[in-house]
Amino acid sequence: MARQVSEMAFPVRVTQGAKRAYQIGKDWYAQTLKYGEEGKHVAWCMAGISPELLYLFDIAGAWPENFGATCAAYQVAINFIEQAEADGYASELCSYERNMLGYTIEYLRAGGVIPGSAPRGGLPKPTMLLTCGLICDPRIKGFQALARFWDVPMFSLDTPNPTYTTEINDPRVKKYYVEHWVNELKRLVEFLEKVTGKRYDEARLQQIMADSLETSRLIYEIAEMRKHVPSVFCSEDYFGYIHLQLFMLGQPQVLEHFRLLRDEVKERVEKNMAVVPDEKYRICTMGIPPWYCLGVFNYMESLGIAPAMDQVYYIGKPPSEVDLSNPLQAMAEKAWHKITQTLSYEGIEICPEPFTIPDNPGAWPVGQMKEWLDSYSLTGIVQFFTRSCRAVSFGQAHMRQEMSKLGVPVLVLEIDMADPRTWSDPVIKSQLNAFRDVMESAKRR
Amino acid sequence: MVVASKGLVRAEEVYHNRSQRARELKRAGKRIIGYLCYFAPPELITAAGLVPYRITGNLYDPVTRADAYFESIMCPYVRNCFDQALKGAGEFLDGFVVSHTCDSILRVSGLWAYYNHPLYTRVVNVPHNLSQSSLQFFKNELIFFKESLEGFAGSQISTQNLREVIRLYNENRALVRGLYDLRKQDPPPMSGAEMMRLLVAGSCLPAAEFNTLLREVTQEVKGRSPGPERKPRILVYGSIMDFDAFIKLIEDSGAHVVVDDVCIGTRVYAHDVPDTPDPFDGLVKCYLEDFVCPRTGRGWDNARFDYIKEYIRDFKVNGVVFYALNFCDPHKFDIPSLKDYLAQDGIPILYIEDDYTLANLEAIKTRVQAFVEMLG
Repeated sequence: MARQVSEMAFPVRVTQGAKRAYQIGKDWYAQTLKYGEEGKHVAWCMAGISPELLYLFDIAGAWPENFGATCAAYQVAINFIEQAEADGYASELCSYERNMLGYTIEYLRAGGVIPGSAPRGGLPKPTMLLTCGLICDPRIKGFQALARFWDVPMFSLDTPNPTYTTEINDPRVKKYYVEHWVNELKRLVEFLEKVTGKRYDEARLQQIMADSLETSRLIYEIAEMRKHVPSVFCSEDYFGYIHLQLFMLGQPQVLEHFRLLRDEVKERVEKNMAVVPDEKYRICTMGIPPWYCLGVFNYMESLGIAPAMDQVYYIGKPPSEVDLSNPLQAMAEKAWHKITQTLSYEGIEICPEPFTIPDNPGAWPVGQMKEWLDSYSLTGIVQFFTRSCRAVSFGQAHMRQEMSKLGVPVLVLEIDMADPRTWSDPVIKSQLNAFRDVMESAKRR
Repeated sequence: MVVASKGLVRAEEVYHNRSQRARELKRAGKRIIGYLCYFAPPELITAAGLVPYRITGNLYDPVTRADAYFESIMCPYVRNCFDQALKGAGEFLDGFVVSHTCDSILRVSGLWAYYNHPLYTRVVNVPHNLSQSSLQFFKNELIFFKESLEGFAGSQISTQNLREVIRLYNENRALVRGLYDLRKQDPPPMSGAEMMRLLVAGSCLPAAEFNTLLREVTQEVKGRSPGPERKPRILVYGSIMDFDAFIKLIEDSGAHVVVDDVCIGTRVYAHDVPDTPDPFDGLVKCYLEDFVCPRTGRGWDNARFDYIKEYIRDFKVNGVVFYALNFCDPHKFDIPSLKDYLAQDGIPILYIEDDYTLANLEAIKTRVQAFVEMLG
């Protein structure tokens, strides 16, 4: 049963692309269910696993991060979260993982029947579990917990990212990092070959990777166009397509979607089509948004605040040239490019592991934010401080310290990404109202 | 150096004044490297002619300054250590070494360097798997850690020197295991709180001095007459603890804590660094393969907990107390699985959560007393 916690639960989006992204998401779930019904492979996996490889092996990917966000958006995550907690999982553990664990418990308790409250028909049972050691501890630990319930083949990809003391300019260091990543990707390929019985098709992966890179470039173009004043593309639309960027890269319909979206945003820029008619303030958000309440962006807009940029999931500038002759090597090289590019920004010191092989940074450096203040004409920052996601919320306090030196207003909203129990409309609204006043005062100064 | 006391008295003195010896060595011209967590081998620091010093928190000093920089949802232990550093507790440290153990440990590394300005900082990356490639990666990380230490120390670490240092540390391990073995007796001749104080003290001393201390303590404990009456025998499992308060609370409630599965406990001392042709292979084996921190993916099924049942059998344990710090993902995700696993054998379990303050001491005490009573 849905338990809606906010009158701002459902966002109003402006682009045609948002409707298309929503439909692709729905079709994706339907296809995953169909794979389950037809006895094809369904992998439950965490971000950090390459969606391109899943697509290559014709595996339907079901991602706790996405399912947690979807359950939250449909206002039902709380049912599964409470189920997991009743089974002993602490309330401060990742709410995506709690949602997945609770869903699993209900599914199995019903004798292998998808819970009626599950959105979009729910997820079929997995035929394999794939995780990784990137970004946060819950990736491995949450999947070890899932292993209590599912007796299926499991795999963990180990691709540690350089820290800020790693000698990234020493070619010997690059060699052993990239070699290890490639070895791990090869291990994953061997695992997928064994479980699916399919052969690794390098030529096809080259094409998938080419599409993936092209998609990344389009996403970056869209991010660049968000610099336009007034804002023509805001956070409610950005978070409306994020499942395509994080979990479906490499698929032709996703590439086509971003081509069309890029064109649409470009047209909005050319025609100066503002999302907020009377835009007075421009903010960048940090952290994972409250998926059960994305209408909060519309509320900001009603105050004259354009959510002009979002730090989380920012893709960075993809490399212009990538040698795809060895696509696994290309994946590793692409990740190395991103890391070395970003490590060069001042401020990376506090977020040593914001990088992953797919484009999913978990945190962002202060130096980059300082640059965005100018390039995106920002008047403030809104931080989503998500209690159950330590990996992404970390660094926000340091960012506030650094921003206060510049006199940049920062608002902290203490929430969670999928667990709505701490949300309160009056509190959030009053914080945003006051923040608008703070930004106004800062502007006058 | 004036060392008037010996054995357990000396251990207690060091435990209560942890940095004293490091400060003496600093005054004598040594450079001190503080380290958090245990994946970056202190052997390498010692072999570089530097003095490793395990950074600990202060259970009795609440976090006041770290809040401004380090989120409240991160590990309370790491927050406390960072808070102590902000308050100047580590001003004698020349360098800071941290490893990618868990989210909190990894992420505090940059904050530490940014706000405390050590002369030397190193983050040692640690893989999450035990695949051949992961082991090789960790070996490379240790080799570059060595290079970086050599650069700071201004001296080379020879293979021969490293072997000698490893032998020194293995002696620590063997002597500690010897003391654990003595605690298999019923009643045990040494309390869990004494052991905790000794191991914390040892982590603040140079390895050679810890060996001397361990030999003294072993002699002292072996010379004790049979201990107090038999009581329920407890294994403590869980997040890091570096004060004896929780162990003491259990023992004051009428039980013996005879063994543990915590850091600054069996996890550090259970396995030697094996003697391998390339000493870095031995370090990888000890510090990644054999070190049973739950942050490493050591398999998916409950076989990853088998060693705990071995402790339960070998130490004739009657009950297990889980101690989990808030926001400790590596332990807290494991709790339901481990409960299942131990429940199969009917092993009684008590689960305590804490925020590294033991602030709700009375409530914890009541639960522990009831548990001990049930076992009795």
